[in-house]
Order: sequence, then C-alpha cells, then structure tokens
Amino acid sequence: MRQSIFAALILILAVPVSAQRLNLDFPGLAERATETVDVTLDAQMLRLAAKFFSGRDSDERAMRDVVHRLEGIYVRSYEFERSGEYDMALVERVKRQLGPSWKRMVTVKSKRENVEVYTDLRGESIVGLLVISAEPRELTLVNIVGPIDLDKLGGLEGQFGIPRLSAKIQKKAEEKENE
Amino acid sequence: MDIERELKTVLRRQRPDAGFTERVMAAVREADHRRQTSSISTQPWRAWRAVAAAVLLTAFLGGWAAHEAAQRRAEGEQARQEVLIALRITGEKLRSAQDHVRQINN
Repeated sequence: MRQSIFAALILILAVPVSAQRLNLDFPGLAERATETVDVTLDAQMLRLAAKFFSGRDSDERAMRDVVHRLEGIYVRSYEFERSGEYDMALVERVKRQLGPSWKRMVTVKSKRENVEVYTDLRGESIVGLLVISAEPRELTLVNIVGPIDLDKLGGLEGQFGIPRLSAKIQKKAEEKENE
Repeated sequence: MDIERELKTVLRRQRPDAGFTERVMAAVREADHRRQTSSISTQPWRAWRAVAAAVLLTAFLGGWAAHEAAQRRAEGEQARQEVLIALRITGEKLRSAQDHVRQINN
C-alpha cells in the first residue's frame, strides 16, 4: 500500500516536469520548398551529440551541459521560391497543440516577418521552447524540449555560430549614444 | 590319449611372471602415445586450420568492432552538427524578434 502511494506520488510529480514534444510534420511541404532544414534529435541522439563536445574547452563544456539535459530538438525550416506557398493554417495547427503551461513571450508582426516565441513554464523553470518565424517566402519552426537554462544558453552566444544577441544590442545602443 | 595329456599340460593354469601387469600397462601407454604422435605428425593441416580459423575470427570481430565504432563516431559528429545548426537557427530567429522589440521600444 505504502509502495503504491509512493509510486503514485512519483508519477504525479513526474508528469508536470516532462516536457511536451510538438508535432511539426507537414506532409508535402518539403516538396514545394526550394530549401529545407529538418533537424530531429531525440534524447538518445542528444546524449550521443553531447559526447562529441569536448570537456577541455569551457565553451564546449557549457554546450555539452546544455545539450545533455535536453530531451529533444526539432527544427523545420522551409524556403520557397514564391510567397504564398504555405498555408498559415499549418502554424495555427502547431499552436493548437500548446497546453496551458505554454506562455507566449514575444510576438512580432511586420510586413516582412512574423515571429512568435512561446515557452513551456513549469514553476520557474522553462521546459520547452517554440519559435515560429513566418515570412512570405520562409517558414521556420523550432521546438526545444527539456529544461532550458537561459543563463547557460546565453553563455554560448557568439560561440559555434550562435548569434551574439546581447552584444548586438549593446553595439546598437553604443551607436545610438554616439549619434 | 597322449595328445589329451599334452594339451592338459600345455593349457594348465599358470600364475603370470613377476612384472607382467607393469609390462602390459607400459605397452598400452606406448601404443597410446604412438597413436597421438602419429595423429599430429600425419595431419598437421588440422592444427593450421584451427589457427587460421582463430585468426580469421579475430580479424572479423576486430573489423566489425572498428566499423561499429566508426559508424557511432560518424553519427555522433552528425548529431553534433545538427545541434549547432538548430541552435544557430533558433538564435537567428530570437535575434530577429529581439531586434523588432528593440526598434518598437525606441
């Protein structure tokens, strides 16, 4: 009896922590695209990838720590020759999968591009990230599953080709001050 | 009748000489040794065939293990590259959103 209660407690505690993987399959879309990026890395592949980041270099070590804890990385990016090649209903279909724990962090709507960023927040932890970037001739969706340490991710800016977000902002701020 | 008597004399029960058992056992051991020696010396290809099989098996297992390790390494390297591509794309999109937010704030 005591064991059953203990097992039930573990299940109850474990469910909210498990992050949600979204369905990012769009049949037929890749055939219409001129360029496609399809990255599907489950937990097993991420563990394997983590082994290939060196433990000697501090940046590689940081990357290894980030990657090792993730449960999945899924990227779908399609580039088209003409605009209007994809239906925005695809994006809506993905957004409908988001549970109540998902919060919209950023929405950018412009003529050139619409970007939405959603995070799966459990308490103070981020356990999922969804980035949707919809341009007239390009559609990109990124779903990262698992605990995301923004401090550690921030530490990887400028490394491995990852854009340096804060530096760019700082540079623009400096330019503005000089004006 | 003489023949019968002679046969009885010849076939009468006698105790063996001293050391008879030892001589018989020595003869058995010698015959056994001779048989073993002749088997190796007359069929050396059997031993060589066993050695060749062992070498082939070792080479095969070694080759297979090396192939598996190389394949695993290639998969790992590819997974590493895909992680970097994914994080680069994510970073670019987040940067784009961040730029827009910044422009609006300004």
